[in-house]
Amino acid sequence: MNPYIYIPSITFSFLLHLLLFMALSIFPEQKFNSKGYPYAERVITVSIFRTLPPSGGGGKGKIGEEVLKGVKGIDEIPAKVENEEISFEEAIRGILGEGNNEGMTSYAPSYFEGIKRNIMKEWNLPEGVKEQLKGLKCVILLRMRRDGEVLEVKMLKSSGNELYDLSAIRAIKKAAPFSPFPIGIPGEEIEIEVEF
Amino acid sequence: MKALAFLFFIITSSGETWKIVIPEPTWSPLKVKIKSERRELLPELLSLLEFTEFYLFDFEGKSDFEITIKVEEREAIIEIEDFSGKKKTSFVCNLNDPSFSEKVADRIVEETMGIKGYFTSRLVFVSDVKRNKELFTMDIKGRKVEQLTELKKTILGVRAEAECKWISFTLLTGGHSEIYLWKEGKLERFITEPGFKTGLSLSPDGLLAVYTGLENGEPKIFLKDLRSGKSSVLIPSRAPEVSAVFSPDGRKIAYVSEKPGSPAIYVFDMEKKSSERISYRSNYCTSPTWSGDGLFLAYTCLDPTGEMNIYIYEFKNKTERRITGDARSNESPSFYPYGHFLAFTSNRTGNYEIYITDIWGKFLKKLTNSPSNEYEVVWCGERQ
Repeated sequence: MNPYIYIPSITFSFLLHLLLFMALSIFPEQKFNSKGYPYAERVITVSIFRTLPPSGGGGKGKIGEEVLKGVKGIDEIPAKVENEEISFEEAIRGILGEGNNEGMTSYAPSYFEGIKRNIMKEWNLPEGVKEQLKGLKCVILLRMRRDGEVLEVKMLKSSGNELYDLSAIRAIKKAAPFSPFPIGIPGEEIEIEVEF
Repeated sequence: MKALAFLFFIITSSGETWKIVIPEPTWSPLKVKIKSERRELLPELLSLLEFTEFYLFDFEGKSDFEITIKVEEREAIIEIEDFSGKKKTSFVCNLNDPSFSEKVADRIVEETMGIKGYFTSRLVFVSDVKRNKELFTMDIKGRKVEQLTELKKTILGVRAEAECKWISFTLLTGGHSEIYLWKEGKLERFITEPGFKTGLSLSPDGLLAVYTGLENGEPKIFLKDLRSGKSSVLIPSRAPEVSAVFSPDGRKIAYVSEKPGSPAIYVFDMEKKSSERISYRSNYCTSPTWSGDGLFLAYTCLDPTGEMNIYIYEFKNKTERRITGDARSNESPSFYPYGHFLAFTSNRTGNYEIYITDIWGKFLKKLTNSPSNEYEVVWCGERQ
C-alpha cells in the first residue's frame, strides 16, 4: 500500500468533516424531520386539507406541499388557531395575502371558472338582435377585492356596438359579488380581463 | 371531460392580471322590471312589449333594465335604467297621444334592443275582403286597418319604399296591366306607355326604376331613367325574367330568371354588369326581397312536397336556408326595414293570412284573422 495515495484523501475527508461540524455549530436550532421539511410545515399541511374545497385541482398531497413551501409566517398559524383568534382558513388567507405567491396558483383555475360560469349565467341577449351582435368582441377589466366585491368595471376594448358593450358590463354587474378569493390567490385585489 | 372543460375555459395568467373568455351569450329575452305611477298605462304597454318576445317581466333575480313611468299632468316621463349603470335615458310622451303605448314601446325597444320604429311600423297588403283585391294598411298587431285604394279591380306586384313614402303596384284592367304609384295619399299612373308592365321598384335616390315589361312577347327586366324618361332592357338574356327589386344601397338588383330552365333567384351587380345565381335548393323560386341592411335576401320557393316556403339567403356565408315548413304555402316575404324580421302570407289555417317571423323562423305571430284572403304584404317602418 502506497502511503502517498492515502494522505491527500484522509486530509480532504478531515477538512470536509470539520466544515460540517462548524456549520452545525453556527445553526444549532434548525431541525429536520424524516422528509427533510421544516417540522412546522408538516403540521400546517395537515390543517389545510380540512379547509380546502373538495373539487380543488392538483391532488391533496401536491397542493399541501406546493402551496405552503416557504410561506412567510407559516409557523405562526398553529398558535393563532389554538388560541381561537382566527379560523384555519382565515389564518392561511392572512398569510398568503401578504404577497408571498410563489407556487400558489393551484386553486385559481377552478375559482376563475366559477366567475366565468356566473357571468355566463347572467349574459343574455334576445334572438331578435343575434345577427347584428354575433361575432362582436369586447374586453372589460374587472377589478375585484379579496372578499369578492367588484371595485371597478372598465371597458378596455369596445366592440363598437353600444348594446353589446352594455350587455357585457351588465352581465358582470349582475353576477357580482363573486366568491372570496381562494387560498391560492394572493393579494388584496386582482384584475381580470374578461373577453366577451 | 375535465380536460375538455379546461380547454374550453381558456384562462391564462400574465403577471397579476388574469384573463377569462366568455364564449357566447344566452340568446334569451331581456329581464325587465317596469313600474308606473298610473297602473292603467301598463296593460297595453306590456302587451306590446310581450308581443316582441324580446322581454321577460316575470322572473327572479336581477333585471337587465328598470323602467319607471312617472306622470305629471298630461305628460308621462319614462325612465329606462340599464343595470350596467352606464346608461340612463328618459323621455316624455303625451298621455293624450292616441299612439301613446306604441310610441313608448318603440322607444323602449330602441333603447334596449337598438331596433327602431317597430310598433309604429305599418304593413301594406292586398286583401279581397271587398271581393276585389284592394290595398290596405294595418299596424304590427293587425289593428288600425285602413283601406288605401278603391279601384274595384285586381292589385298585385306590391312594392314599397322602406318608410312607405311610395307604394307601387300593378293593376290588372281588362286584359292588360298598369303600374300605379301611391305617394303621399295620391295615386298616379306611373308608366303610361301601352303594353304589359308589372313589378315596379325605384332606386333609393329615386332616379331609376326597374320593372318587368315585354320584349318580343317575353318578360324582361327594364331599367328606366326617370330624368330622361328612357327605358331599355337591363339584362340581355334569352330567358324570361321578372320581379326585379333594388337593393337598399341601389347597387344591386335581385330578380327571377328562367335561365336554368325554371325560375331561380339572381342578383345583378349594377357596377360590374354581371349576374350571380342565388337559389339552388329548389327548381322554382320567386318574389325576392332585400333586408334593410342588404345582408339577406328572402324569397319563396316551391318544395318537392308541393308547398311554397320562405327561404333566406345570407350573403356573408353564401348560404340559403328554409325558415318555414310543413304548413301549406308560405309566400310574399317582406323584411322589416330596420331589423331582421319578416312578414309573409300563409294559408296554413285555410285562407291566406299575414304572419311575422324572424330570419330563423323561430318567432311566429299571426297578425290577421279574417274570412278573406290577405296577399302580397310589404312592411314599412318610419325611421325615428
